[in-house]
Amino acid sequence: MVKLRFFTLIVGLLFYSNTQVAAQVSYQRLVDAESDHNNWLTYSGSYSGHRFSPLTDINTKTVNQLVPKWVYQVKSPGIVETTPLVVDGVMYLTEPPSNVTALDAETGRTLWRWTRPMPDDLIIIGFPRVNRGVAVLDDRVYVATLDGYLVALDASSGDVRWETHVADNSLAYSLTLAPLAIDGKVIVGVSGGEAGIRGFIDAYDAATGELAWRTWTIPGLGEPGNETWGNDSWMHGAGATWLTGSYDPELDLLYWGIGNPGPDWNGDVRPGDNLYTSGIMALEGKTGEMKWHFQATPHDTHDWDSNQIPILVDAVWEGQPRKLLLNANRNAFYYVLDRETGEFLHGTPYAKQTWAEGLDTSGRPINIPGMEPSYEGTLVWPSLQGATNWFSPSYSPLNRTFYVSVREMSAIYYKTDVEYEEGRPYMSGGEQRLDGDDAQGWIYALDALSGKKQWEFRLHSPPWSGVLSTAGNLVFGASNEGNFFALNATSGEALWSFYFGAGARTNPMSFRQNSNQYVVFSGGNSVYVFGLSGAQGF
Amino acid sequence: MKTPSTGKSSIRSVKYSLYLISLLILIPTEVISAQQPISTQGEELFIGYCSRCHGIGGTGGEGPSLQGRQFTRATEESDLARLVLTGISGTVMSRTWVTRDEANQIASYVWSLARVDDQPVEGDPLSGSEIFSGIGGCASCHIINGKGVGIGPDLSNVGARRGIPFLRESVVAPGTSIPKGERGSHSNFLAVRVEMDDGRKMRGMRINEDAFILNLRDTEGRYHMLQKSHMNKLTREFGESIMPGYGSTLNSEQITNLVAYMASLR
Repeated sequence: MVKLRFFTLIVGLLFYSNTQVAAQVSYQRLVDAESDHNNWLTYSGSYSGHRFSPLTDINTKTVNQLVPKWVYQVKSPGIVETTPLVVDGVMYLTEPPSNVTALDAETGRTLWRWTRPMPDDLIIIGFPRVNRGVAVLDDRVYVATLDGYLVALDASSGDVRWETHVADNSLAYSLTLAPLAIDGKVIVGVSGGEAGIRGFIDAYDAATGELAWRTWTIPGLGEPGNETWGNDSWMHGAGATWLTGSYDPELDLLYWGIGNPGPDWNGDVRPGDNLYTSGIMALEGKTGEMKWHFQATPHDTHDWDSNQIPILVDAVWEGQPRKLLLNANRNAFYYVLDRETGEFLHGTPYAKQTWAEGLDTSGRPINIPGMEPSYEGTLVWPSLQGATNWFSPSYSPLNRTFYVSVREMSAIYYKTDVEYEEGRPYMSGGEQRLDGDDAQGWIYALDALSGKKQWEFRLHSPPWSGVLSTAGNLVFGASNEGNFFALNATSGEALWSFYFGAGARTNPMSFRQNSNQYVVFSGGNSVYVFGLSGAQGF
Repeated sequence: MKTPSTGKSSIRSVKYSLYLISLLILIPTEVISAQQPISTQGEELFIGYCSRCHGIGGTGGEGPSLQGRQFTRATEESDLARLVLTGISGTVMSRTWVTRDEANQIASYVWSLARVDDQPVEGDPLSGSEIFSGIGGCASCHIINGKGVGIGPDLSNVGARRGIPFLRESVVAPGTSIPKGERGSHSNFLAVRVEMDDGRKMRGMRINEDAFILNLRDTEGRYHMLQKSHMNKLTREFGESIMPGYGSTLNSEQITNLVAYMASLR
């Protein structure tokens, strides 16, 4: 009798918990991620960086029935910028500083939790203690840590499979990004661009953690591009790689945004264009070899990292089918590039800027004299935090529209003098931003090919949250004031909002479980999961 | 451990430019005097470690303004040093990687931004107190040490946080002391004028605003929740205040005495 009960219990558990099995995410599943209606398998939802959900249950007619289904309170307080992944009923998210939690995606109940203690002497310069999410491949979950490691966890238990040292935190290297898993490799970049690091992008063997290749973002002595750094300034030239790139599996090309040169605001010590900072690098996935680069802001002196998510789109351009890369840059320009060759096709301001007359035929900005930071202060649009920042844009393939959260804001930029010291700030100035009601926040819908604005939605203040578009003809976003909201993707009309009472720094995502669609935001110290009111909650 | 090297000439240039810009954007003049550092090294450290979020001169950025603040997490300078070393849990402010001595120097500089030294003041505080409670009618809107009405800001220790020029300006032209934003200490006192689609017209102080809602507090202290989707017109009255200016209702001596009284509130 006891045996029968035990047998019944085991069978019952097997059936009842059939959604909570170890993730098995093949590379091919990642390639096909955007057509996977139930799951969210990469940071941006797909290799193409679209942050688009093909789900339609929540749409312009049903969105007013959206209600909270469950809320997860992070266990270690801090800024929550994670984009959760959902794999076959299990949600994997990161908590500050670098912890990973697996939840039952339908109910929010915790399945396992992995905690990474941080050393007392952890060096963080220029950014908060955040982590933006994990990658999955096969039966492993990958997390990059603030203390400079890449760790592979067993997807079913959270146990450590391997960990590898990526970069030296005593030099202010740190990792905040969600890794990107491709065929047999895990790709990571580094933070630390305000501390005089030399940036790089690494690929690690997904099974063993061994370094497969490293590509520096600052060319070394004798390498092409090193001549764009005067006075040996390349050695501490920054070029951090702190956000997740995009990937074209057919071309085997990774597209990775590169951060500002160092020191940030005083360019006198680094004469030249300072390649490959404040631009985009295209690297071969197998080898890390650079195929092309495009520098949005040569000799950047405003901290306009170019790390914003590259969006990959196939479209007809001037009568010819082209593989395109779209980028709404922190410097306030919108770019259309050929992603096979790096050829500049089009560029236009999408937000107010006062530093360039425009772009020349190669995409190089035509600088307006006198817009550099100065000892006396120089007023420039956009501000140090840029027209957009870490938070993701979204692209809807249904209406070929590019959605982006925009910070319309200026600042008075100063430069000071600074000398490099290991593990110390290497910034050389700062800003007095013109804040409050002098600054505005917006969601812009841009025509993907022309960059022309289709509609705009006013936020109260410059946002720190990204957007998600869906096949339900919706755009989801969030505000600093504590609003989650949904807009009509065609018109920008606000259709739904929920006040959660804290600032949001979120990139929304969506998934489906047991035929119910959910939308996920983070805000304050919590992760919120919304679903339609008719769907069952637990 | 060495500290970041920052050229003194450039620091002086930055200070000079801050002075000019402060005048241009009508930052109350006390801010300028507050930027004269107690510790030059503290200011240099602040520029290196803190200004990215708090702005050069502590004028605010992603982090709040530190000027003229009633700190909620620090009652004395050593509290600020502790916050520098530990960060503030649950906020963007993480631990700053400096030595304890450097933290103390940063704290000293920040404290200097937020506090005004006790100094001799022209005028008669006792007479000013009578004006405050009497013909000025100030107590009908302000609380001092628990007494009065809480429409305007509590002035219980305003003399420790605000210098004489600011206090005088807030009496004569109170709208100029209200920041254009929501991070300053007076941000909840921005005057707004609203016309709703049902015909209601209101003027009051903006207590909260987001993309969908504006909370307004009227001159009687009543709160109104107003949906922007039903709003025909919203005017933010920058440079204005619900509080009347006293430049024409009090004479020069009365104003001086009133300012002396407020300066004595520490």
